[in-house]
Amino acid sequence: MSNYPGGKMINDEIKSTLESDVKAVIAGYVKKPVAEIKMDQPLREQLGVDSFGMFELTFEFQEKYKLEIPEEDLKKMLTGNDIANWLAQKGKK
Amino acid sequence: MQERGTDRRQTIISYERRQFDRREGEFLFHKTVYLTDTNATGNTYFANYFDWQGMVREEFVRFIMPNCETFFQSGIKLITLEASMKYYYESVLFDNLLIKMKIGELKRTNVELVFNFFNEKTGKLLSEGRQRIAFATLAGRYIPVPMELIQAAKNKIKDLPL
Repeated sequence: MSNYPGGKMINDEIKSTLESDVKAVIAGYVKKPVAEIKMDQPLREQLGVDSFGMFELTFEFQEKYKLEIPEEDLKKMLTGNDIANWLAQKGKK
Repeated sequence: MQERGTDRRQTIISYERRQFDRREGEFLFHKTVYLTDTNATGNTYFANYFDWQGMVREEFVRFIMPNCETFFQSGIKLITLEASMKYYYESVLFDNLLIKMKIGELKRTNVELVFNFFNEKTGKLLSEGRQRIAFATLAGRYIPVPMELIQAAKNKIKDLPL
């Protein structure tokens, strides 16, 4: 995380961009309007994303951000927030 | 000496024996209906068409990848995500069927296969089927469609996406 005064603003901006990115991909995948997607919604239970769906969703992010999501991290991704937070964490490294 | 009006190529490549239609990008599979395939009313039991989808896709993999046993022994599992059939006409005992299979949608995560079942004698389209397949490790973790397989398919089918 940046230490200069504008750092928090930049981080908020990145987080917001990631969130809208994640929302857009989820919305496209479950074929719902972006406005109907909530970041804290359980992907499996409420949006009907099965295990293959999780693979497809996360594969899209892996390709886009050139990152590999380890199996143990993938299992912890239950909501859009989890995906966005993981991407944000990896982005810092 | 070649007889007038005959095409020498026809004696070499018999349509019945051809495994692949290059122009259409379709794999060809021939199946005769036997008693074991039929039901009490004498026509083919509906579920057999799913079995035949499976046979055709296996033969297709063997066709594009002659060393496919090694490929499957490497621990890659093929997973059928969905399969469907639409039936238009029946087939009965001793009917010879021509099953044409082609790749529908090819994505990095899965492949769609499209099947058309014809009566070989009449040329009538009997039924259509589709299936979507994915790949996984032995441990059950999904993996992208193996590049080895995509490359093998590309060697046979032109204009394949990816």
